Amino acid sequence: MEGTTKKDIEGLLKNQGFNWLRSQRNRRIFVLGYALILALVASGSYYKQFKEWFAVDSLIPLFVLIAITLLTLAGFSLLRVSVRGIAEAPDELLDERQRSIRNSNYRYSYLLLGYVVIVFMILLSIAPETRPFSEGEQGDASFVYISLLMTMASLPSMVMAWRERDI
Amino acid sequence: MSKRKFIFFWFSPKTGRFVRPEVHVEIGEGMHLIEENFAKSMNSTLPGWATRFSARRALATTLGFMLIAIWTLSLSSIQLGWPEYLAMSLITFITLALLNFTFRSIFDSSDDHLDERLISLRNRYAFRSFQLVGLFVILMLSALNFADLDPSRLWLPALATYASIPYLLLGLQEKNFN
Repeated sequence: MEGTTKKDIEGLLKNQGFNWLRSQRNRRIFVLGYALILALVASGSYYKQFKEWFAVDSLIPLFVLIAITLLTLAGFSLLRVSVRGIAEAPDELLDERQRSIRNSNYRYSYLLLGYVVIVFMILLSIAPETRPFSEGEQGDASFVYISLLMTMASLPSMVMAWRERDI
Repeated sequence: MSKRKFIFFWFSPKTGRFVRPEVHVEIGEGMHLIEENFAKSMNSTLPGWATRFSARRALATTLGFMLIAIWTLSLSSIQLGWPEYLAMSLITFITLALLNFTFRSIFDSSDDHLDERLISLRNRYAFRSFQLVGLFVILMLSALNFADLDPSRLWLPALATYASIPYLLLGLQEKNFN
């Protein structure tokens, strides 16, 4: 259910690298940057030219698409490293203090999710086409959906990275 | 944990309604628990039906069925008039309000109004609720691939589901809450 493995979490809990991600200030800057990336990904649905550009028979759009995907995945992975995977770890891999931190952050994540749902519904209302990856000439909501999924997956880690002083 | 107060804008009940047990300690004669006071303070201020697990489970089941009905109607091509939508919204709202009452708005209460056990209970269910909503969003996005939806019909089910899930899980799983 948590979508992670024991080895993965234990590796993150013992991780000694990425020291630049340990301070709260750097984590907050990182969270803001990652939120900006997600917003940019979602905005892709609202540029008709963007979709047309990807259909052009050229390597440049392909490289841009790969770069955006890698940037988003790298952001997600680094975010998990910054909070040592605690947000996704199951109970049995965490001690009592870590469980308490995780659960309290999930409470704020759930409240924040309310705002995310409202923004998503507004975006969907003004999307040119709600069906993802449609063949129509207008843009579609695919980028909004990708952004929503990434937001859902990252939100607990983002809240934890923002709130906690020492992880 | 962070020491600075984390500010978050949310709707919370303004007055604490929790009755905490009072323990009387008499120094010099050892520690005495005054049983009468303890029993009195532990008595729930909720009406009898609201403290029964079976009643809460029935409310949660009703709410679950209402959500399923709302989602089914919203995803289908059936067109309903405003009286039907109003009736569905009212039943859902009343059921959710009753569940909310039986759990003393625990999920919407801030830390100041809860003791350690209740904070832990609330946060534990927030974890499960978030997971369930995540699963639900994935299912909904999968359905979007096959259905041509009118987004304006998704407002009611989306917001009702978001508001209900924590209390739905509490109602179905939490046996000892009074």
